[in-house]
Amino acid sequence: MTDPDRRAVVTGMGAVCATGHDVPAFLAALRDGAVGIAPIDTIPTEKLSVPIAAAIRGLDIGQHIPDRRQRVLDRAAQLALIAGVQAMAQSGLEAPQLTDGAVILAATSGQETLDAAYAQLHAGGRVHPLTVPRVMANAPASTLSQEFGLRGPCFAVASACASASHAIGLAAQMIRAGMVEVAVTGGADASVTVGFLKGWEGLRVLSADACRPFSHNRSGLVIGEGAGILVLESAGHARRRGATVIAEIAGFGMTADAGDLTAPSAEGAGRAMAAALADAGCAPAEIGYVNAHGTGTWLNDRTEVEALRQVFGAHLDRLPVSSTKSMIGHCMTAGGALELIATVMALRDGVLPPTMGFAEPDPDCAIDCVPNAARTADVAAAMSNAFAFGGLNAVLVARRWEG
Amino acid sequence: MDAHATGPGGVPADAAGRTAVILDIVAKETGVDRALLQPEARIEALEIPSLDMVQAIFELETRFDIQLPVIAEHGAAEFETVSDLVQHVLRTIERTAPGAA
Repeated sequence: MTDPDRRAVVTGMGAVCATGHDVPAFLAALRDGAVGIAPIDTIPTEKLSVPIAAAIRGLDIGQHIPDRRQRVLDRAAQLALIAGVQAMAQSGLEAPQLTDGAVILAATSGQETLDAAYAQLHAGGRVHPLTVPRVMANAPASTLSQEFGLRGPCFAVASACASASHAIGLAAQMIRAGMVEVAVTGGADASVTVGFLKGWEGLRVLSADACRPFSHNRSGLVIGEGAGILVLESAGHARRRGATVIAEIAGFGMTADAGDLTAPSAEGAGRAMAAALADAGCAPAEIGYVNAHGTGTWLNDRTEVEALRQVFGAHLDRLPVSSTKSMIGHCMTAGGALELIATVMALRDGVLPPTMGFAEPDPDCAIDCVPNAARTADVAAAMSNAFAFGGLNAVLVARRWEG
Repeated sequence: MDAHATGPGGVPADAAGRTAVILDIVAKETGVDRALLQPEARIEALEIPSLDMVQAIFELETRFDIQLPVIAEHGAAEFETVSDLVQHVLRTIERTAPGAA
């Protein structure tokens, strides 16, 4: 890139997930290795074979969103709004600066609304008339556009568990290209519902006890819920208004496996990582931390490590790679956003989030996964991976902001 | 008849009582001041968001155990005035509610 003012920088972050209802709480929980996975007590569990999740508990939505606003929003859009308000407050952006701003979020269907609609229908009741606006996949994006008066490009990106990373990458590219100065991006997902969990049970990849990425005794993934929203803007825009820059989104790579619909591909994942490094103009050895996709399934973790080895070679022996899904679960379409915020913590605060639950080394996952305790480190550049069903890979590279 | 006399399901037995319930529901669901819901008041002028009106109709249907037929020929402005809405609900109750007076 030739014009440093067109770099895409982060100036605001908001988060709500199982381990924290705002960014400071979320990051403190990452530093503490707090695990948000627990027996489900937010929905009826009698129909579930795997009754654990990383659900958000103790969040009083009514404290954040008035009743009449709540009722048109599925829980996913409600979470997006809560995290969006946090991110916007941190950015310090005000209405006139937002008029042409973009909103690019992960697409997510309103699972709670769908579940309720089907339950009502099969019980002989009536389907709620706001079902359609609640379930539409762009609802979280539209909600933030309405809330902040963002009238530029607004859409949702559908790539399953890579959606938020794809959305953030696109937002960054649009800023770098000069299409927009400000973009609100990330994702929200509220999939801890009976219907959705039953669907996942059928895939036989859910753990019944814990999420232990890279550990030889790992037993699968755990579904989480949450929202991560970031305010991105051009470096020039941020500088002119005197904003505090948190980090730079320096590179974005995306590939497709064009292979198995659900089984991961080291080749596809590796090409996405290499593309993100090239886009950032970053040598592999400059990366000081990787926030892995790290689902905790047998296949994902060994495939991801194989891809990391292809890309980083011997540098992988000195490269910390952790999975925050061990704490916040797999937040589906929102995962990439929350995980980028965890990655930013490594850059800005010099703290590597741990992989919790690590018990037994796996020869096929021979990496430093920052086992069981956070660690300090000086990290100038970091990578965040997201790989989705459908063979879709999205990788972000972020840099510490040096001005 | 006593305005508070009720028929089956707690539905007031007379038009005035039913109208009061209708206006209460519309005011609650749309957030519009009850005093502004005069018969000739135009729905458009009250600036009621479309989904608030959808929610209000849903609550009216639930409260009176009716299904309000869509008046498709009116297009987007199904009800021009508050009175249009009230009369539509009252007619539907008369037609469908069991034991209606």
